Amino acid sequence: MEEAASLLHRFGDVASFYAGGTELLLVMKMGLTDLSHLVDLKRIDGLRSVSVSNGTLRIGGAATHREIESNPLVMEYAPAMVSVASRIANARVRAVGTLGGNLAFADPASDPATLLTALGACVEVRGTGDSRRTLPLEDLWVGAYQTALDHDELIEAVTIPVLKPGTSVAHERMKFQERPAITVTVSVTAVNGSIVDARVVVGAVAPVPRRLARAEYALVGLVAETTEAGVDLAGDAAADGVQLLDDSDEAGPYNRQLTRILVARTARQAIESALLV
Amino acid sequence: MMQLESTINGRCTQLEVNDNELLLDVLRDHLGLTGTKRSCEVEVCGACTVIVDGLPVSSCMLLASEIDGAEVVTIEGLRDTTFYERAQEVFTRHATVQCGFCTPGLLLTLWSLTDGRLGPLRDLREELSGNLCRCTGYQSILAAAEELTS
Repeated sequence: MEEAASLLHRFGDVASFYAGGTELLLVMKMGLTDLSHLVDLKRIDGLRSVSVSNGTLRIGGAATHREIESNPLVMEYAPAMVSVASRIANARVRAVGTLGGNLAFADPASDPATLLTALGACVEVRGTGDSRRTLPLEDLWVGAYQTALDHDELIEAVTIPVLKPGTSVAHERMKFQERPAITVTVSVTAVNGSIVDARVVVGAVAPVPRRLARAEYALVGLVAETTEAGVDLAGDAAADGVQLLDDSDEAGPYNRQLTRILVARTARQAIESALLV
Repeated sequence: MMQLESTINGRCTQLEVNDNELLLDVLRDHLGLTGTKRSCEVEVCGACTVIVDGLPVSSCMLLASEIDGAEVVTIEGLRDTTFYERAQEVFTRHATVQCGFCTPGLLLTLWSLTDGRLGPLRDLREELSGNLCRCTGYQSILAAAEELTS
């Protein structure tokens, strides 16, 4: 990893990390970037491993979506991650594309990015020499296709805290062809039949996935009888609060309507499952 | 230039490729394996599907350097298998082949689903959603695929 980081440092702007290439090769083919050196991260020992310690699931940055969806530890500690990874693009992309690559590319149309933001995940970042830091996912992205990573920093691992008891997670998306037009994750925690904590994250319609505080606020305190009205309020709050990638006269109202419907639907699903337990 | 060694259709093969060469170009232009089709070139249509270490991949979007040490199977490599014999019969009976351009990718995807390395078979429609047929013969493709994987 140190060597990979130092190679990036040495070659500068014409070098990039290569972690599957499903998006990087595409932009290279389109002539949008002028790279002469790719540093392959998938062959680095340990960068694809999955482990659990101290109540945290740790997925290596170069683990492929296929490896994640079929890993027993991920299945046990973050089942929502399995169902999301298994629906990314198509089987060929999943065989080659990696989680770290997906997050570092910062494509707004990313399912794992939205889910992991809701789960409170962090990235462990490695740079030249001894440089290491840990970033909450919310601080990783600064805009569409833009991250807070330095040129020579790579994502060593993604850490996902294990869910609190009583917590249910639902993830929904709508896609045309293979890229999601919208991704929504709702995570709620229920205690004694009432929702005490909620996270609502909307991605793909937005430059980066973000929590929507007012939508979350609409869900806290809900019980079975008030769920239906509450999730509609959350949908309205989300449609109102979401910062859209395309807010033009044509696309804006459509994207807000998509947000409204999908947030309400996903919230209903998460709450019903949390209140069942 | 890079030196690679990989097993292609069961044969140990040594290759010299350019650093930026794609697997699709190496298969078609260096090795004459033209059953691998060039089509969308953006990893969406599935016509260039080959199997690398048991998994279907888009050869249009994979650097050839990635197959160093790997096992690659193209449609030509299925020729003498019982799967292929059966697939020919089933595909013919269901009239699955119209122009035939998507057929090699479809067969390789189906083969990878049936050889057990991917774990239990999930929803077939979902699994095949990444293989586009531009003649839109999806009903006959699904009927044949269901028979082949059952």
